[in-house]
Amino acid sequence: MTKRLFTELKKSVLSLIAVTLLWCLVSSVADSTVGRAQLVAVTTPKHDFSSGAVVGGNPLDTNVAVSSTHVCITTRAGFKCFTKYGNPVSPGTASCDANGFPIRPVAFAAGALLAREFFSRSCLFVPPDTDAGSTKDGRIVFGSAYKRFFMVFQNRIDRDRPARLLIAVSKSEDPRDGWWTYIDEVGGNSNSLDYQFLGVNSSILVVSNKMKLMDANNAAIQKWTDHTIYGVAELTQGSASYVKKIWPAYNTAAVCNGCAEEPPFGPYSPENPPRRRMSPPVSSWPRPAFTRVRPATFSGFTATATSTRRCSVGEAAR
Amino acid sequence: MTHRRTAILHGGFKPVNGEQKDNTADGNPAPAILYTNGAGANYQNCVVRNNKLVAAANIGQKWANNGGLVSNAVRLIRVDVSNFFAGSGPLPVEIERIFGKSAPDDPVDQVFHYGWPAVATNANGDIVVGSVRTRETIFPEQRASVLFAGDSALRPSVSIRRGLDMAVDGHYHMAGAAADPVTNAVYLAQEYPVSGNRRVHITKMLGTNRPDVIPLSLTAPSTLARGATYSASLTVMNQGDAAMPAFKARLHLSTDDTISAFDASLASFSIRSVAPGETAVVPVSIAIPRTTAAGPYYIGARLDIETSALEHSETNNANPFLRAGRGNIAATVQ
Repeated sequence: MTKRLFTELKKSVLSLIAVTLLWCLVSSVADSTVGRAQLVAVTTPKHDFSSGAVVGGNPLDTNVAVSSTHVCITTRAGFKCFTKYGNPVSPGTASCDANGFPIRPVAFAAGALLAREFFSRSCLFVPPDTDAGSTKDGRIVFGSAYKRFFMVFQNRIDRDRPARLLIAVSKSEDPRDGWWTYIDEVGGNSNSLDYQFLGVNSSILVVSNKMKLMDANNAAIQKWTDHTIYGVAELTQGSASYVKKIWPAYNTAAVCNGCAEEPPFGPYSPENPPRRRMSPPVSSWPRPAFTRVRPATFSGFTATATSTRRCSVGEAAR
Repeated sequence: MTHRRTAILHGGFKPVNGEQKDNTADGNPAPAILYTNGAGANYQNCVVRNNKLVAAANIGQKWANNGGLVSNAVRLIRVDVSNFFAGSGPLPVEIERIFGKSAPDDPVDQVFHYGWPAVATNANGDIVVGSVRTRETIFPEQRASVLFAGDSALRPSVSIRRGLDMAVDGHYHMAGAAADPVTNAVYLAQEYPVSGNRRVHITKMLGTNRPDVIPLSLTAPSTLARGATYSASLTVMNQGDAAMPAFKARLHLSTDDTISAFDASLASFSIRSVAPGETAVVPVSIAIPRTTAAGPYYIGARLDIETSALEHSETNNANPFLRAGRGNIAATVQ
């Protein structure tokens, strides 16, 4: 009996050792090289759907943001929102026509919208797309703290300055409830911008722009990155004015000898590393705690008390 | 003290354009997939979450079985930035993966181009990368790759849309990715061609599918008499991505446009299961209590009052909209 038990135990131990060795072998193979066969399950999509018809140019340069109930995408010059199942939804009710003149309120269709039409029909005056492509580069993020979508397009032509950002903030996490819309000039009469990207937390919306200093012939003679920072609390409430900060101050990077990122611009190597702009002290960077309360001040930034051009799509916010 | 911190990565080559299958007999090669085009050159997509910076970028890569040629690949990195402001020196690179020659499920000895990545991470730290895969014998294909938190290797990538004949040009430029704020899902958005136009394919990876029912609309007489019974019609929609099992609902009479459980109940009833994306119309008989004071009221619904299922949102089971009446209807009791 004892001998039989010992034999069984020995078998079990040997099996355990064999399994352990095999596991280590598999793990080391999987870890060492991407491209080897792996004994792991394929992770398949949980759900998918097509946008259906969209507008906004080619390529679409799509971005996506998700609330607990809806999905919104931007295209190059437009956007479209969906339920999580994939049915398109209306972004609310327009109060102006495509030229910005007041009309009896009418619901937007549940479908794709050009950004310029959306902002104009919210009653903002948006300069026309004289080159059929000056309202573009849509980007969208979802801010979990306030449960709002933040969507930004640029509206600019290098020869018609200054450049503008078109900002829309949903009034809830359901895009059907409507949006607050804003138009904001970025830079001065000698500046243009491009390739903006977004980030949002509980306090600030950061829009990073590739800024350009233009000469009299509308050619960019300097390029750098600036960060335009908006107070989220005001944007989400449709406040008639909002806090806006800019770093660095316009054109300071452009004239900062040896500090600008361009030119030259890559390819980088140890002999030609990317040159970075001088930075403000760490203490001056806005790193607010995760709270809904916007810090009273952002030191170290160029502050602009902005008189806002703000409009609305849909009903008053909750 | 400075915030100039760098992460040291392995070397790489400049991105190169990819190839795709030729769908014509005109003798001209198929247009290349422009992994290096314009603003997209070295395009990088990144996100910071829980002190981890996760980024994916186009790079050029030489693989051992590719005759020394450079093909396009996706580099995925995760960098710990928790000590970004306080520390100094190189940032610790925790994960660096390059996929493009053969993702784990790619056929052996075939060199693919991978590019235009989009990346996002969920609350667990799981990483999802969407990208486009091309080769001279296939049309471009959208794929998704997952690296679970704690895993050292990418899970085999999965095809999410294939056969994308970029016959006019090879532009993709960029894609999008975003994490769901509630579940562990990560959504990918990537464009694709259809008959000369472009559309966007939206794919949900990871997480759980849930229903999400809302009282979409309600019809009932606008004038009601105390002690009388009326017919009402409630339209409910399941806007979620999973079926809603049969559930209980209730209609209320409220003195304001915000319906709550404390408002007078007009009717309690059951609603059958509702498929994802489905709209169901439910006839309801409502009785106005004799004790109701005359005056203006709102009638509205509360759905799933016994919590039959975990939904994407539980707050929109009543008062679903901001618009006047919040989705409820006004009525006068005489």
